[in-house]
Amino acid sequence: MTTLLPTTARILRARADAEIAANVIAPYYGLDAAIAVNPVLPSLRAGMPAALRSAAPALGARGSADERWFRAQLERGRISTAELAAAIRAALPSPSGAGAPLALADESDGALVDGFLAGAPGDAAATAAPHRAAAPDEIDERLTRWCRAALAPEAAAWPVPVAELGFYGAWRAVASVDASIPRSGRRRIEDAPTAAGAALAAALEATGLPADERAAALRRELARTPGWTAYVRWRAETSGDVEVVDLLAVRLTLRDALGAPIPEAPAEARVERDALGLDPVERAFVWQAAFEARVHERLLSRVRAAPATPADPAPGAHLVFCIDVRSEGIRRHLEAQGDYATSGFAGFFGIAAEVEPLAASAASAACPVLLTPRYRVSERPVPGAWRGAKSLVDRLAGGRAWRSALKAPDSVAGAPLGWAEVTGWLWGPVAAGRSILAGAATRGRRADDPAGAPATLFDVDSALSVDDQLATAEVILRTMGMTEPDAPLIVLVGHGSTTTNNAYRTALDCGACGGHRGAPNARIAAAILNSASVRAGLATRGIDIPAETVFLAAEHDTVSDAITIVDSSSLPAERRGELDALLADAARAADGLQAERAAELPGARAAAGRSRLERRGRDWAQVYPEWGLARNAAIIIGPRSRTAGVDLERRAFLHSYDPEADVDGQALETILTAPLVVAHWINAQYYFSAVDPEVFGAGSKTVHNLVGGAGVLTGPDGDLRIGLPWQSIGTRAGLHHEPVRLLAVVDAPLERIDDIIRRADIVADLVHGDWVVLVAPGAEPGTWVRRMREGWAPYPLTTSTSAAKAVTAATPDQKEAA
Amino acid sequence: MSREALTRMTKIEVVARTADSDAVRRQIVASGASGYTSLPAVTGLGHHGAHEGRALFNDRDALTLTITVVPDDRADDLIEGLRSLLERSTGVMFVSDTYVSRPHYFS
Repeated sequence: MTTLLPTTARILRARADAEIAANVIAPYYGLDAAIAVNPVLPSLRAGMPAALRSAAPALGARGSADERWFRAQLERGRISTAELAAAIRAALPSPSGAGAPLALADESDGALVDGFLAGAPGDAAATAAPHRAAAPDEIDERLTRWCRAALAPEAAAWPVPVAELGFYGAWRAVASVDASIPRSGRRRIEDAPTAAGAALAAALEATGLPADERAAALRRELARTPGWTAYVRWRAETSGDVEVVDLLAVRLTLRDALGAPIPEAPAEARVERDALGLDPVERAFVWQAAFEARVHERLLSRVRAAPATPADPAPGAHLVFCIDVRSEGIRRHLEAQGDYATSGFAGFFGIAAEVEPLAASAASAACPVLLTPRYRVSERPVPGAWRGAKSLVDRLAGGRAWRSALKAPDSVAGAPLGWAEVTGWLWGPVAAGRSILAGAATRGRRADDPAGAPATLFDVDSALSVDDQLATAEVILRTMGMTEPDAPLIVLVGHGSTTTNNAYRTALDCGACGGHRGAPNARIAAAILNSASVRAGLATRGIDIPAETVFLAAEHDTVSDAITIVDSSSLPAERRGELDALLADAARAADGLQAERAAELPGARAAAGRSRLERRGRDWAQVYPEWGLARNAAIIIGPRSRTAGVDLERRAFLHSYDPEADVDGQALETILTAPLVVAHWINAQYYFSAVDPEVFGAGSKTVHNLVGGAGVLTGPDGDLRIGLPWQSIGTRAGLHHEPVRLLAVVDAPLERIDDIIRRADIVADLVHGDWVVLVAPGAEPGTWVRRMREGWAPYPLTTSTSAAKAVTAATPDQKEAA
Repeated sequence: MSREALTRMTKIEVVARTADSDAVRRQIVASGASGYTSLPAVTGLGHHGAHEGRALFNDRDALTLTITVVPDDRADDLIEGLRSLLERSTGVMFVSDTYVSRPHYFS
C-alpha cells in the first residue's frame, strides 16, 4: 500500500463510491426501538421490479418467492387456475405492442396455464435464484468481530478506544499490534493513513480497479455483511459516530494487509425469457399477482359497497385505536359487545414528541421515524404522588444496578468462569423455577409498562404553548374525521406487548410510536383534548366538543388483549360506572379475541383463556408470544361503516377517513404520505423476511445471541441479522405470513387521489413502483378500480366463489403451511 | 458596501431528497468546508415535476437544499466529489460565485 496520502479530490471520489455502494440497503434501526423498514428502501423510486432485478441480487438475496414455492401453492389450490390465467393475461403484451404471445390471450385458462408452466426457461426452480455470497472468509470474520466490539461496546470482551479514535482509527491502533495478523500485515496497517477516507482511497487505488468499477466492487464487499452495513447506515444518520466509509476502510485495509484482493465480479447470468417472452422478474410478478388475487378478493368482497347510513344513535363510548392490524380484532370484538364506536388513527395520535417517562433513563422519540420529534414531554408525578413515584424510580434503578453488578465480571478476562462457579448454585434453582413455572411468576416491569405505575401526568404545558396544543388537537380530530365528537367518553387506546426474554419485544410494540409502547402518546393527546383552553380554541375553528365529553387514555396489550385505562383522572367520580361497564365489555371482547388468536398460535389451546395467553408472554422460553403483524395484507382508508361488523382476520390496517369532511384533501394527503408509508414499510419487512429469510430475515430465535441493543447474531459471530426472526413469520410447517404486497383501499374521489399522487413523490413511488396495489371503489357498487401508472383501470376480482369457500374452510395447519 | 470590499468565494447548492442529503453533508464536511446550511422541505418545480414541501407527518420524503460556501481553491475538489455522489441519484447542484464579508468564517 502506498504511504502517500491521497489528495482531497481522490478521497472525496472514494467517499462517493462508498456512499453509492451502500445505497442499496435500508438503514437497520437495531432492537432498542425496533422499526420495520423495507430492506431495499433505496430502490423505492426505481420500483419493485427494478429492486428485484438489481438491489436484491446485489445483496445475494431473493426478492420474490421462488417458482417451486408458487407451483406448490398452485398444486394445493392456494392459487387457482383462473387466478393464474388472469395474472398471465394481464402480463401479456398490450395490443399496441402485439407479439406472438398475444394469441395466447384467447386460449382457455387451462391451456394458458399449461403453456406458462411448460414454458419456464431452463430449470424453473432456479428462476430468479440469487447469487449467494460465499461463506464467510477471514476478512469477514475479522471485520464482524470488530463491528461487534466497536459498535456494541457493552457486548465487547474488553474496551476498545472507539470513542477516542473512531471506528477505523481504533481498529488500526488495535490491529497494528494484533499478533494474529502476520508481521508484514501489521506493518502495512501501521503504514495506512490514519483517517478512514484517506485509507479507503489509498486501498482502492492499490487495487488497480478502474474508477468506474470501484463502486460496484465496494457494493460486493458490503454485501458480504449486509446486516452490519445496514446498522452502520443507521448510526451514520443518527449518532454520526461511524459511517460506511469507516467500514470499508477497515475491510480494504485488512485485505491489503492479509494479501487478499477483492474477488472479481461474478459473471452476469444471461437473462432467459420464457415461452411468453417474460423475463424472470416479470414471471415472478405473474405468480405474485396470482397469489395476491385470493387475498384481494377475500378482503374486498367484505368491504361494504357503500358506507352504512349514519342512522345509529350516538355511541356510549368511542375508542380510537392504532391502525395496527392487531387493532382490527379487538375493535371487532368490542363493537360486538354494545353501543361502541371505534376509529383507527396512527398510534402516536399526532404527538410528534420525544417522551421522557418518569422511570426511564433517557428520553426517546415516540413518533414514526418519518418524523423528527418537535418537542419533549416529560412525565411527572401528580401532586401528592411523589412518594410512590420515588419508590418506582428507586426500585427500577436498583434493578438496573443489580443487573449491572451481575454482568460486571463479564467484562474482566477470565472472570466469567469463576463467577459462574461462585453464583451458579443460586442461578440454577432460579432458572429451574422460571422454567417450571413458565410465566406464572410475578410479571416483569418495564419502565414504560403502565400497569401498576404511580399517578403521574405528562407535562404538556411546559412542552407546548396553548396555540401549539390547539393546532395539534385540530390536526388529530380533522385527520381522524372526528369533527363532531358525539360520545360522552372517547378513549385513545395505544398498544404495547408484554413479553419476557424476547430480543424482539420492541418489534411487537407500536411502530408509529417509534418502537415504543403507545400509552404515553395516548395520555398526552388526551390531556391536550381535555384542556379547556384548547376546546375553546377548537370551537372557534368549527369543532365543538360537548362539555360532558371526556377523553381518556388506555393501552391494549397485544399479548393478553387486555385494555388498561392508564389515565382516568379527568373522569368525574360520578361517571365511574360508564368506565366500569366499558372495561367489563373490553374484558369480554378480549376473551373472544383470545380464542380466535389461540387457534393460530403454535401450542396454544383455544379454550385456554386469557390468563393462559398472558402467561405465555411471561414464559421466558416461549418463542411465539404472539404473531405480531404477521399475515398483514391491506390498509383500508375510509369510514368504519364500510368495514364494521366484518371479519378482516387481523390482516388490515384500518385508518378512519371521512371523504365528505375532507373537501380540500388535506387529511387524505396526510394519511397517504405517512400511515400508508409506515404500513408499506411493515408490509415490506414481512414480505422480504418471508421470501428470503436467510438474507432479509433474522433466522431462528433459538440460536440468537444479542449484541447490545444493535441486534442479534446467529451463533457467536458473524453478520448482524436484519429483518424478522423465523418465529415472526412461520412455523416448522412453513410460512404463516403470506408474502403479499400491501393492498391500499382508499375510499375517496379518484381526482383527489390523483392530485395527491401528482403532488407527493412518495405516494407516486409506492403506486407507480408497484410496491402497493392501490384501489378505490368503482362507479358501480361492488366494483373496484386500480390506480395504474397510466391511470385508473377496472380491477375485477377473479377468484371463483368455490375457491373463496375453500380458503374459508382452511384449517390453521393449512394456513401455516401456506 | 461594494463587492470590492468583500471576498470572492464559491457557493455550492445541492437539492436532493432528504434521505440522500446526509451523504451530501458528509461529503461537504470531508472536503474541509467549515460549515453548511440546510433547508429542509423545499418546494418547487423541476425535471421530475412539482415537489411539495414537508408533509404533516413525514419529514423524510421531501427535498432538502444544502448550501455551503468554500474558498475558490477548495471548490473544484468538492464539486467533483459531489458530482460523483450525485451521479446515481436525482439531486441537482448549482455552483456560483459569491461574495462574503467574513472570509475567515469559510476558510
